[in-house]
Amino acid sequence: MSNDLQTLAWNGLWKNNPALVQLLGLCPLLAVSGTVINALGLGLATLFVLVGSNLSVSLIRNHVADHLRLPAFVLIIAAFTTCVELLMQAFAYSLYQVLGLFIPLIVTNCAILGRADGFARKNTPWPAVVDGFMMGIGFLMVLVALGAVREVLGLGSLLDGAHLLFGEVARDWRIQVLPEAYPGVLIAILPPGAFILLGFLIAGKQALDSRQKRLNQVQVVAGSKRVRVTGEVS
Amino acid sequence: MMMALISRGAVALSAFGLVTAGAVALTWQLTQQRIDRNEKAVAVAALTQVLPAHDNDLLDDQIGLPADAALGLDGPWQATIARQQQQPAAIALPVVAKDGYSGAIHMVLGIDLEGRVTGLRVVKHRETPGLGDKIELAKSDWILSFNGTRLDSSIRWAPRPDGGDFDAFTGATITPRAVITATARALEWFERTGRAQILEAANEQ
Repeated sequence: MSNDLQTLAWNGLWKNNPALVQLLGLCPLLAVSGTVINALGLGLATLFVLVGSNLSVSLIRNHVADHLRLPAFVLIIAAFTTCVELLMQAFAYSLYQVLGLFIPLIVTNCAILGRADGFARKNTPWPAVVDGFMMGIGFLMVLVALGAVREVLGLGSLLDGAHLLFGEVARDWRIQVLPEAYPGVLIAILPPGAFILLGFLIAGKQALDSRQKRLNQVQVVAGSKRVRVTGEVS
Repeated sequence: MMMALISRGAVALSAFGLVTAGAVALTWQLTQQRIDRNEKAVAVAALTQVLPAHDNDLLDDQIGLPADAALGLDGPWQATIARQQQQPAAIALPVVAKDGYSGAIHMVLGIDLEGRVTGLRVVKHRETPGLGDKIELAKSDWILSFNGTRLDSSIRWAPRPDGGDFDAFTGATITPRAVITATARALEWFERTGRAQILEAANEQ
């Protein structure tokens, strides 16, 4: 496995996206993606924890015995999450009031423990940080995309409540995408709607991938000589 | 051999625990003041919304009262007093409507000394988004229709579909009904015992 920046980015953002491919961290993903701002808030908090835990895990990778690594990783992740929770209470209290319940749950986001154990533990700090950042951004992108679709379908708006995250300057960032009288599709805001829409996002990614695969295949020219083989040809 | 391995592990993990707990403690130290200020600001903002103009420090002017079934409160609670030049002008009290569509609806109710509603806000609820959640001020102005109302024969305290004077929401009558009856019950409590009880406590301070 190559660890250059490009591969790490490609893996985190698309090929091995934590939400779309690894399907990790679905609990917060589905619960908090009701609006773009909520999604962005949780995405940033997760990103911060992911980068921090990947860096720390990588720094201590040679000092932790194999059988102790999981409790040690969980301690690290829990510490970062608690710090994020405190910082959010101090600097974005109104957002904390919305997301409060889901911040401690970042500890149980398997994407974070998964990256710590699956990547950071075997790599030097720099690639570990990059991996954490890219995976975090990948997760954040899916969260925000899901949040945007759900907000437009459910409320007919975008960036509702931006001041919760960005302060008073953002109070009128709200964009009314659909007419004011739009009644809103209730299911889009409820958790089942999140499941359904995530399904569509995953299907969309699969469709793009398989289309790309088809395009990459060499076209067989009619009349060309072919070799018959048995078994799978990839 | 086994013991040595276990104790080495225990030491290593404890060291870890100490370092991580230390990091959390440090962050707490650095943020605690700000958090405290934020929490106070939110509490005051919520109370200020339901109370009329006042010149006292609301968080310093609270009295503890025992559980009260009429208000839907299962445990001890606090009434906040708004004063104008030392004189009590209105009080704010928590009210819980237990018969919401999906669980209890927590509210704060402001009442002046004549028993008139000075403001009502929903602080916590789990009503259906898009239907019952119009009781939030963020979603609809409905909750403001309580301002200035009181218990007398000119107002029927029920949603319109039940023959009352308050609007209900299309597709959600249970939620407004719960809010309306809980508020009426609280006003009744205020007329019956609350006013005397609170004024007595307020004047002692």
